[in-house]
Amino acid sequence: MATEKEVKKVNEPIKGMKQEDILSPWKIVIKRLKRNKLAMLGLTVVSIIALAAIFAPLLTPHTRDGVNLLNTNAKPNSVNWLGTDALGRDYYTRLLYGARISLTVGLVSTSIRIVIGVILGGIAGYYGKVVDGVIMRIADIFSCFPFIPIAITFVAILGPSIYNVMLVLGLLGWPGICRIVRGEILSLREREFMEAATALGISDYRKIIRHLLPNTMASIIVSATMGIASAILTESALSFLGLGVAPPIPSWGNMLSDAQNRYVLQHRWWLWIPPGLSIFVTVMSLNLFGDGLRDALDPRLKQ
Amino acid sequence: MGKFIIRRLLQQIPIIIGISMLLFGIFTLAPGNPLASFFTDPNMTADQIKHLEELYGLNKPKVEQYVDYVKEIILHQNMGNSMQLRQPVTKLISERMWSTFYLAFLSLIFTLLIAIPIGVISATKQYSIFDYGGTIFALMGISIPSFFFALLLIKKFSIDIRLFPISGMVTPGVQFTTMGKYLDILKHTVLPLTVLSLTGAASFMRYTRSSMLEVIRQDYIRTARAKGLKERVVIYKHALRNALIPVVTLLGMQIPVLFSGALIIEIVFVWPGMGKMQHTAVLNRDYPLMMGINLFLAVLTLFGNLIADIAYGFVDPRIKYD
Repeated sequence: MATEKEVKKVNEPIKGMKQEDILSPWKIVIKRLKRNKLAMLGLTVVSIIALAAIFAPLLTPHTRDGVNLLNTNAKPNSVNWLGTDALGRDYYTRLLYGARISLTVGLVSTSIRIVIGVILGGIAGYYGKVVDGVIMRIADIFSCFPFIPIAITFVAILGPSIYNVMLVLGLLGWPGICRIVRGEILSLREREFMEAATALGISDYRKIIRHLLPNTMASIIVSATMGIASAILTESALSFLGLGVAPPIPSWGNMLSDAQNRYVLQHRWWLWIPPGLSIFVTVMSLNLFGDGLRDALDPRLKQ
Repeated sequence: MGKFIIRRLLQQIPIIIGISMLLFGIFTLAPGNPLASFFTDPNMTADQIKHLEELYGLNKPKVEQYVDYVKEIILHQNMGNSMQLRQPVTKLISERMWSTFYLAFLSLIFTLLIAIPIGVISATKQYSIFDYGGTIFALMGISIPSFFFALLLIKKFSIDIRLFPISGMVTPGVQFTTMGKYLDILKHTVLPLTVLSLTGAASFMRYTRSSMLEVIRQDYIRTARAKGLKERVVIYKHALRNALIPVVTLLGMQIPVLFSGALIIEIVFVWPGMGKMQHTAVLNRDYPLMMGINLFLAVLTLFGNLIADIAYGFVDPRIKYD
């Protein structure tokens, strides 16, 4: 029988090795990620934008929808940092609040996508056979529709609003993640640890939730990061076309739709360059971070 | 092979049925009546509205409406009439599809012409300045909203230096010779084509690069080098051919992406294609037209994937069909 002293001895670090040297898998990932300068740059930029979105009211003296008809179409100046629009609303303020909308839509729609994709992918991968066949055929049906045309159809039917955009992006985007999860679970369930789980008589639900899904976490996280980026892009396209987030709520996409007017395009750069650049920088940072995360989580995938 | 093609074709049938049911379901769940514009018309009597409802089959149960819709498509190639344009949907699609195909097909060719060479050089010179440049170019291409890129190009090349026309496919109200007409269309094509090809090339480039990197680490490439073959032959004859096999699959998957991109670009450049027509249909709630275009695009995508699947077998003889 092991005495308390002996147990303590086992837990003591090996000679010549400091406590910090023993790394958990997550610590290894973070360490690898920290070495990737581009990924860290992406993370920093995204964090700054997210903070700016959260603390938007503190970062500007103006209000989001504050109309001032005596000060319309002002050029950028010391009071209105990015000028004002045709209704005299401060554009810098709207850009800050636009970040809130774009990031929220990205996060929420990606969450919906992941919940649906993980549940269906998990079920399809674990049970296989007919269940798998049916779920994957449904996924096939969904991926036959070109994304933007079917998305504008849905939004047109439901009516343009921020909630409908989130819902539509979530409901249409799940097959990608479903395929990833299904593929991984399909191979994981044949592993020995699953045999052990079966021998212990664990329920299917527990097997999927506790033993299979955690092993697919890496792919899910990477896919989610990239998914937020593409959701922000799609939301901006829908809003740009007048079918996404409806004014007066500002989103980077609907702020850009002013530029369809030739006069604005030619003479009022401050009304369309800043929101366009914001989308570009945010999406690029998310992609950089996602790339780095993929390399850090699974070095085998490093290309 | 023949057996495989037939089996794959048969497999598409339930998917096509699923697609049409899903679409039909969405449209029947839609609030509002497609004849709503007539209800507010004071000249319409209740009898006339009832007659219209019978004409469009709106008084029948939904399931029956669906069966009728499918029957009409199969038997008469008829997808109903556009509510707004008062013309058959099939006619409208067949008029507009060629300008979309023209743009999409050209952009696919340019995408490959840009992406494959850059991807190959990036892979053979991994971690060189060229590789980093290519990677950054690809990331930018994936991250920039295509409509913003389009607006930047319009601002620079159409407004500032007036090199290319702002919008449309032909200059209206001008008589051209045959040659002049083609040149005019070409001039209108440059900007939308640039946006579609560059944004499309980004993902293809990343894919070609990683596929190529994987191939040049294979043993048979080492063997080819050991035989004393020239590096050019090793790369372009032995490696590239194998690296392009997975790219064929990506080509099939690219079709829906292409139509998505084309829709936005057609709207920005007022290009008279299906995307522009769909946008107008959406704004007018022209349900039969929206339904027709979506069904058409989905079936097109399905067959694109099928062709890619079959082509995969031709380019890679290792694939066995059971």
